[in-house]
Amino acid sequence: MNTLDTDEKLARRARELFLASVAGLDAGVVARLRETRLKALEAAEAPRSAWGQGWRMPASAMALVLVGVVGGALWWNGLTGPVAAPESLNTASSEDLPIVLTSDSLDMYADLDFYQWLETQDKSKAATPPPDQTDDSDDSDDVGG
Amino acid sequence: MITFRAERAPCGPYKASTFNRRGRFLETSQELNRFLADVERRAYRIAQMSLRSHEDAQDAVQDAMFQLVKSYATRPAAEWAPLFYRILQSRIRDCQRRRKVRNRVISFFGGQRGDGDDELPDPIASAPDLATAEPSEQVVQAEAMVALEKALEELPARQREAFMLRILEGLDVAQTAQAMGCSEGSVKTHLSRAMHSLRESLGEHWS
Repeated sequence: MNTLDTDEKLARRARELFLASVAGLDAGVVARLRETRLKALEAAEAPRSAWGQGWRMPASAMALVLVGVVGGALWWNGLTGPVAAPESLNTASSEDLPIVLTSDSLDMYADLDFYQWLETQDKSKAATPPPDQTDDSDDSDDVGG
Repeated sequence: MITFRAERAPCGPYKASTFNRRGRFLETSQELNRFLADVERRAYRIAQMSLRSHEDAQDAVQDAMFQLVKSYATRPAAEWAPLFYRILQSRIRDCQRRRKVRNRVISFFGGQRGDGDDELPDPIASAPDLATAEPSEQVVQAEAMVALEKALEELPARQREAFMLRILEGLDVAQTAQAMGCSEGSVKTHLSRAMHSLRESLGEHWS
């Protein structure tokens, strides 16, 4: 028997065995394959009806509008120059952050006006010369005068 | 005098084309259903023989079905078989690659033997029942099938693919080449080498 005959016999025998094993597949496997097939076909049908025709065009139009709006905003911003943030925002953030971050009692911030007043009092006292120095100056004035 | 306005057609041109598209899709869907129903069990067995795992074979076939329906449903029906098997072979290779990496990691950390054999089912126990044959013939066929699977497992991947697609599934050379993503000449070479190896390894069982 030559090689070709042997190969042909081998191929035929292999295919017969393979097909017999396919025919003898477990019923559970066959049912699962069938279920998978039907799901695949359903999945292909659903996007076509819902997305393919109903949403594809509006979605692309929406994307176009969005690009236009963003582009327009950027162009307008370029014309008018960069907009500085309002100062009130900066001051608010710079004042509020320490309050949030520090672990001091919040009661202190409730009496903040009082403490500010106290500070101005201290400063004014420091600016005013002590009474004995004033007397010295008065004396010198007197001497000189 | 009473004049009747001509009634408009119930469906305008847009709707008519929608119905045509819908009709074509349903027709395609039915054709796909027939194609997949015809091919699914053989595809499962090919995947099972390559992967030696029921779950992995199911997953590979499922992926191939979904991918074919999703991406290639509009292609001519004659192209479905090679496309389907191309996806299936790709999934099989992915699964084998993942296993190799997993086994390397396991062996690196000093785990099991690392060749994955301990996860594989007993080939004789997992051999399908050949219900139509006589009991003695069933035993002979089961043994021959186990020998074939074992011999196929020993082949290099491309030779095994060529043999499974060309001989077991029955694709022609051009379809096999398309499914394997190579030239027809390469298919013939792979198949010739596979036959040579199988002749040697199966000689005692099949002569």
